[in-house]
Formats: sequence, structure tokens, C-alpha cells
Amino acid sequence: MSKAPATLRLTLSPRLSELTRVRNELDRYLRDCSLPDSVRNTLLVVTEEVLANIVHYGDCDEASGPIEVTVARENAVVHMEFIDSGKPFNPLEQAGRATAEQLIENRETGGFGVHLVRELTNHQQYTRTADRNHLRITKHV
Amino acid sequence: MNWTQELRQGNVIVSPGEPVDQENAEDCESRLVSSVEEASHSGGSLIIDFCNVDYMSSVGLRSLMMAVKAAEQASVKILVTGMNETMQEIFRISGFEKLLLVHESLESALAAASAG
Repeated sequence: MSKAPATLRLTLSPRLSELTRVRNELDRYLRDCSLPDSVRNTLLVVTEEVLANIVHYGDCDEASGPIEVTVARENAVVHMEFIDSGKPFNPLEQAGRATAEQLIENRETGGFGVHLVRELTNHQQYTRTADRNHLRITKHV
Repeated sequence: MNWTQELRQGNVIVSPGEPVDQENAEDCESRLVSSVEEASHSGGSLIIDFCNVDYMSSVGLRSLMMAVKAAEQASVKILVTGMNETMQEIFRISGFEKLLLVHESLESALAAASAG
């Protein structure tokens, strides 16, 4: 029986151009975890949504240091954590109050990201600790 | 992109052929909008086959919404098929399942496109 790989830890500069590398590393790691395709796919989406929001709206810059991502599989749960040292910012709060239905009705081209993160995962928790933003997300396998 | 496109009975069938995310969403958007135009010129519908599109992030949904808006302007119907479990979930969460006609197979989408 093969062991699940150890925790994935990666860092990125707060730039959109980093997201491809992050996605590729995460994809490799999740495949090594032997997760169902649907779990892997949803975590790739969730990661892009969170990181894109931090980069776009989080007011991080090179001076505030890299964004950190950790991913670990623990039995039937995958734990993710996103940490950045920008201003106080919850990546899941910057969206407006519109429901997905309203976004569709109004033919909006943005705003779906937060809905995806909330509905594709089981639990999300934001905290601000020691001048850093922490977003923890869990997904049941 | 791993994009493929063909014309069948006046209907444009496109396959993005890979996940749509921040890396290729802009490319996907321009290709989708062009295929709406092509469908309009040939008097048919646009069928999007999502086989090998493992997932779409919100920028992918944006590209789809731009195609929807173009299609509404041009009175072109959009039908979709080939969705895996993740894509179905994304369509359900985002509400796109109510916006686009989802078909179980390409054959059924073509039949519906030609009937309409």
C-alpha cells in the first residue's frame, strides 16, 4: 500500500503569471495523492480562484512577501491553507452579494469565483493572525 | 489551445479540448465568439463539446458568458455536451445549466440543433 505524499508547500509572488506554475505543481501533487478526478479538478479550480482574488484584490506586493499555499491529504479530507502578508483581506469576501442566479440573469461576466469556492468545498475559514491572512479550506474526498 | 472545430449541417461544433482557466481563457473567449459568428453566417447553432475539458475556472465561465451574449445578439442557439462530473457541478453551482441547453451526447445535441 503506498503512502500519501507529505504536505505540499509552495510559495508564489503575488503575480498572475505565477498561477500556471502553481497549477502544474498542485496537479502533480494531487495525482500522487490518488484522489478521484473530480476532487482533483475542483481543488485546481478552487486554488486558482483564491490566488487570483488575493493577487487582484488583496493589495499584496513583492514587498509584503510571497503567498504560501499548503495542501495535505489526511485520510478522507484534503486540507488547504492560503497565507499572505498583505493588508487584512478575506479572498472570499470581496464579491458582491449577488446570487449565482442574479449573475446569470444579468449576464455578468464576473463574480462566479467565490460561489465556486464555497460550493465546491466543505468548509472555509478566514482568520487574521500575526499580520497575515489565513484562509483554510477543506474538501472531503 | 487544443481546439478543434467543424461544421456539420450548418452547425458549428467546437471542442476546447483542455481545461479552461487563467492560462487560456482569453484565447477561448475569442475563439468562442468567432464560432458564434460562424454559426450565425451558416444559419445554424453552436455546439460546445466539453470532452477533455476537465474543469473551468471563473475566467472560463466568463469566456462562456461572452459567447452567450454574442449568441443572444445573433440569435444563435448554444448547446453543450461532453461534460464530466466536475463540469456538471460547476454548471450547477454557477447557474449555467439553466442558461445553456445541456445534452448527453453530441448526437443528441446535433439532432436538437437541426430540429430547432
